[in-house]
Amino acid sequence: MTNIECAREQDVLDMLAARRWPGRCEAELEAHIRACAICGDLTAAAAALLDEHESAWSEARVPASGVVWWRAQVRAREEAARAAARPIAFVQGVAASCAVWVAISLLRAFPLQAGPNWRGWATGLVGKLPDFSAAAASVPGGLPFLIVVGASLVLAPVVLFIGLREALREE
Amino acid sequence: MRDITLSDVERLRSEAADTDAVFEMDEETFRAFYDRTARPLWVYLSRITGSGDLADDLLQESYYRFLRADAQHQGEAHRRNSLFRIATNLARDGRRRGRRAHLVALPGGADGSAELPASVDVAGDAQRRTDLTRAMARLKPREREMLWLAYAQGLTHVDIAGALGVKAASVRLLLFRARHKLATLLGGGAPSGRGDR
Repeated sequence: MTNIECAREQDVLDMLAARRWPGRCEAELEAHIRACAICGDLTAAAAALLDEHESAWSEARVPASGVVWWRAQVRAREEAARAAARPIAFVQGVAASCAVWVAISLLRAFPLQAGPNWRGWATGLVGKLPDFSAAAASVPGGLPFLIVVGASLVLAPVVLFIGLREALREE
Repeated sequence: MRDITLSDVERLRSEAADTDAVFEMDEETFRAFYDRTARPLWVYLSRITGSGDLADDLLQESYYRFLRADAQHQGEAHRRNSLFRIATNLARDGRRRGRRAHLVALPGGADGSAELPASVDVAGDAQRRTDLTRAMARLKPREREMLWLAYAQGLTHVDIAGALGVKAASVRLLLFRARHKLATLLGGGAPSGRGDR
């Protein structure tokens, strides 16, 4: 059966920690290390890692404790604020769904024939709209260009509103 | 410059009180704990990930998660092991997400030409570090973590088990295997058969 321990492992570790390897190690312990596979592996691995640890320690650069504490506090508060906003968004979603459901229910409860003639009203409205065909013919892009301009005019305030709201929230 | 009124002072006090209440641990305790553990943790992270920059990020994240965990610790060792466990898991997550870190850079400039005392064997040291870096890169992440904690940081088997989330009873065997593998990769280890006594 493979033995995975040696009684002298601690002696070897103490010797390495005292920086006595390889030049200032006791002859008897050195002879043991050369003969014992376990202590041989231990010496090769631990000596290299101890050297590396020394180098790494000198190059370590850590921020001040106050900075880490402050960053953690800020982040925790931000996360808490986000967590608090989550139920509000959920409630808003539920309210919107309820509103749509109520609207549909009302429409079903009152058939279109019972209410005002919406179709006729809409058709009349379209008839009153100005004729854009002349204007469309006079611009280089034609009707598609006019549609894009119109959509931009409608959407620009919405985009502006959303952008400003995000900016204000970040402040 | 605007004068601070009494109500402003009260408001700031109240905000500070709110802030302090965010974590279970108070600032003074945290700062003392941080001063004892930050450097060993950074060194550990930089060597298991192979990147100083990644170690910077993981250090901050580890302390944040440690503070958020608000766990009850039975002493300093337990608290430190929890921190190292969080850091180890973060490093493993980073590896899983494919953030492949490059090998550990040599000290100083990109070419490893740091200014060292004349008595230091610069070429020999650089060679040894390169050998170790290559050997460590060929080990499994858990082997790297275990070897570093055991021999570079001198943790006990119980502490290693606590920091890595493995059974304390299996640390000895895992460490034996990892140590043999590293020694063989470094060229100073015994052949596999020599372990049988």
